[in-house]
Amino acid sequence: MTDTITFCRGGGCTAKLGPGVLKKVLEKLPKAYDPNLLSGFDHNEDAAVYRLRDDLAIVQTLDFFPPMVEDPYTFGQIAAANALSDIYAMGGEVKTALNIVCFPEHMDLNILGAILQGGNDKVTEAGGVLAGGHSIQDSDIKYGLSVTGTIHPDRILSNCGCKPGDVLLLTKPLGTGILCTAARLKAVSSEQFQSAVKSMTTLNKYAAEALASCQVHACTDVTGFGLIGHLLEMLGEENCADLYADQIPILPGAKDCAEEFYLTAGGQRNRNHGQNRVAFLTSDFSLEEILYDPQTSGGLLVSLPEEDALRILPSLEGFGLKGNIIGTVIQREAKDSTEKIRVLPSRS
Amino acid sequence: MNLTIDARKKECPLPVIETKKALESMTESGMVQVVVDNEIASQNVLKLAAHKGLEASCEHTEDGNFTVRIQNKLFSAIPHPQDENSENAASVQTPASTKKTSGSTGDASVLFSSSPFLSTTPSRPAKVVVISSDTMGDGDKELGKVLIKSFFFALTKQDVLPLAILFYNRGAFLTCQDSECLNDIRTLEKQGVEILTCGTCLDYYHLKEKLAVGGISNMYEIVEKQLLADTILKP
Repeated sequence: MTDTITFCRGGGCTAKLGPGVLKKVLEKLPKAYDPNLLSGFDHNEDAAVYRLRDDLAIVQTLDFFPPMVEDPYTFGQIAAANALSDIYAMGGEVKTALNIVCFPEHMDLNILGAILQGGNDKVTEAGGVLAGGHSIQDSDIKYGLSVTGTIHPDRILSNCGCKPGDVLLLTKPLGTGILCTAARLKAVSSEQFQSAVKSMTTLNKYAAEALASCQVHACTDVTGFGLIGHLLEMLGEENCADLYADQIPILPGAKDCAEEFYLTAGGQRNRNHGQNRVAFLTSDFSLEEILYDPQTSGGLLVSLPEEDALRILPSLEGFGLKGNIIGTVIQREAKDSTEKIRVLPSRS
Repeated sequence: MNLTIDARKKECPLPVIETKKALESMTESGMVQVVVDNEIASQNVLKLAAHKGLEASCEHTEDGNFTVRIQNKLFSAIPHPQDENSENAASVQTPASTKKTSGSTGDASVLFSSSPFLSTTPSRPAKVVVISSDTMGDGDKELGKVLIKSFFFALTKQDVLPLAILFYNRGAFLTCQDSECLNDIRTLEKQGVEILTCGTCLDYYHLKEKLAVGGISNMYEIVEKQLLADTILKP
């Protein structure tokens, strides 16, 4: 291959539009009503679910972004794992996928081939089939998938609805945004980078399968809005949460990169969106940055009873997933308080 | 020494990384001026300044850009207040008179108010006292409280004073209201010793409203001060 992938202004989910901006636009759109649309714009669900029969619904999602790693095959795998993840976050099963490609006309087509190969391999691992796609010329590379899955209408996992007393389970470590950004500037070791890549290419399929035996009250995948952003959405109006700083899984090297100020614009946008609702009872700057860090192909964030979480944690470890119980859902104390999330040093 | 960085058309984290390098390259105090073309980048640069404890401001200019100005403080040789002014040194020996001390002692405390460890002055070695408990030594608690009180009294009488005293965990109780060591710690502060209490610990023990002397610190600073110290005294 003669060309190398030139990095865009911040790949992966760091390229996502800020949550504040998006909300303004979506609010203005008229909401169509269809009783069979089981998830819509209302709760910013991870994917759309449409009921076909009483026992069958389809789940649809779409995700694509610019490269965040140099190797095209790896990028293809990550982009696909990230797109497929939304199906798992809804509790669905992957059936078909379509490629979405933006590619510069004069670039080496072998690069495109490697990207598509990476994507195809992940769709196959997910048990789905790659059924086609669409490509356009563009100045920068972008790649992703439109995925369709199936689900029983009674078994949809919503991204909100957690119950006080639930624990919060996170199935992958945080820090992919900061690590990929620092890697572009050659500031991480290859071991650190590889552990981030391993995490991003791991399908959330395995975590979702383990969750099938649990009483899940809410589930979402952690991506561009960072852990805080996705958790705020999950908590809704009624609930608050305590997070335990020493229980939060973080990729090796990510905290060092935050201390060295490899900070993304996406992370700062997430901070602006969430900071009024989070109280840090720790003085740990790098942890704050990591909780706001946009994740690419992040893990599932699940609200469920503690005994269920404890029961499946060992099986997650078996799949090489470094997840953990990171916090607890609590009843909202003061209605007028804006504080939704407290970050405590430890569970104690 | 002043520096200007044009970070327009550069995506995060480049404006922050370039600012950080510029701050680190400076050999004397001065201003670093950073021009960026979007608000998010200006917020990231301000975050860097805040994290380093430097004063900074941001201006949204008419051309749509943002100019962040950071005051970088570096410290040159710092005279010991007691060596400089014997009259003043005598006055601060008496706790009762400390409230009225001003002049050179006041100037000195300004000098010591921020990271003095960047200086390489042989006349003032970087000694740091670390207080992690409200008692001194293992054993009887009452005895431990008597000992820590005498420790601070004795410290006020020393010729060579530490640059800073760091209080964390139950040590945080000593800088708060009702502490029996308060007068001595205030005396030390007047003598130019930086008094810093861990913010996490104040929160944890619900003491934030009760802090009666010195400033609130964070783990970053607590680690940095100890790393850069040549002597750490932990009673």
